Amino acid sequence: MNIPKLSKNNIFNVPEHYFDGLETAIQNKVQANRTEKKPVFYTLAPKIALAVCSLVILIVLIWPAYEKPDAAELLAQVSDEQLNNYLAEAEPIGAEDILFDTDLSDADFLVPDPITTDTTF
Amino acid sequence: LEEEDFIIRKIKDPLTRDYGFNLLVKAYKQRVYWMVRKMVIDHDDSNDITQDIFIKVYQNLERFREESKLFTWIYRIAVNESISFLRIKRRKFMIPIHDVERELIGKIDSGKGISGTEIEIKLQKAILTLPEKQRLVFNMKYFEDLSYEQMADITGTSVGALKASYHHAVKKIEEILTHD
Repeated sequence: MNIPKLSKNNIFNVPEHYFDGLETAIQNKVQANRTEKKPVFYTLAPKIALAVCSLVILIVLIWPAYEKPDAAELLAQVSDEQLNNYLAEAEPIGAEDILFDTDLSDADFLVPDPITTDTTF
Repeated sequence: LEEEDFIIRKIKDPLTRDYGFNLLVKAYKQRVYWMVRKMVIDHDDSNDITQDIFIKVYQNLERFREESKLFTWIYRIAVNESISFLRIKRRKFMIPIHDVERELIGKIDSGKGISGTEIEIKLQKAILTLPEKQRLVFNMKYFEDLSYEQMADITGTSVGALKASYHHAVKKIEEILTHD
């Protein structure tokens, strides 16, 4: 039997007007697919909200542990007697302490050298 | 070819993409459906697969590069969908290849949505005994008259391999029809 000589008729049938309906069905599916596809923000919104809430809760729980009391508040907790005792026992501030705390690179601090800066001849 | 170029131009422009897609569906719906129908035999399955193919085409329109023809690109998606449908069917029901073939032959025997001469029906049943890729090659060459070059673009197989595949398919079908 020679295959190429056989009929190439299509033996399959489709319901009447099937292809008109197919076009509409595809267009409807595409439309439905498009409306289902929400913008990225909306799909990520619940995750973002959860992350923000977790962060807020974490900050609320941890913050008090790191919160340092105000200097004035700390001073108010020290009685006058304790303060006087401390000042009486503390060593007075000397010139060395002042020098130690001073930034020598500060230009305003430097005294101009009379030899190098003198421009009068 | 002019029609294909026109559709591609419409698809490339985001403002006319939907219009281009509608033209594409109109131009290729029948070819795609018949290609699928010859592979899966059942009309309802073919209908679902064809719709899914065009949804995939729509979703990937932006990725279409003009390296291949629009028809070849659509056909490649159609071939993949049809073959993956048959594979899923096979895996889902845990049935060997032979039973899927028998199921498809049974659908032809049922006569639902089928009308042809005795020899035409015998030919279809003989085609169903081929391995699915050989069946695909046979259908594309015999019924759709595609060139080996077109088939190579669609399947990503060499022209030589396709020629050999078609030759084997013809021999096997001839053998079945002669002995029947």
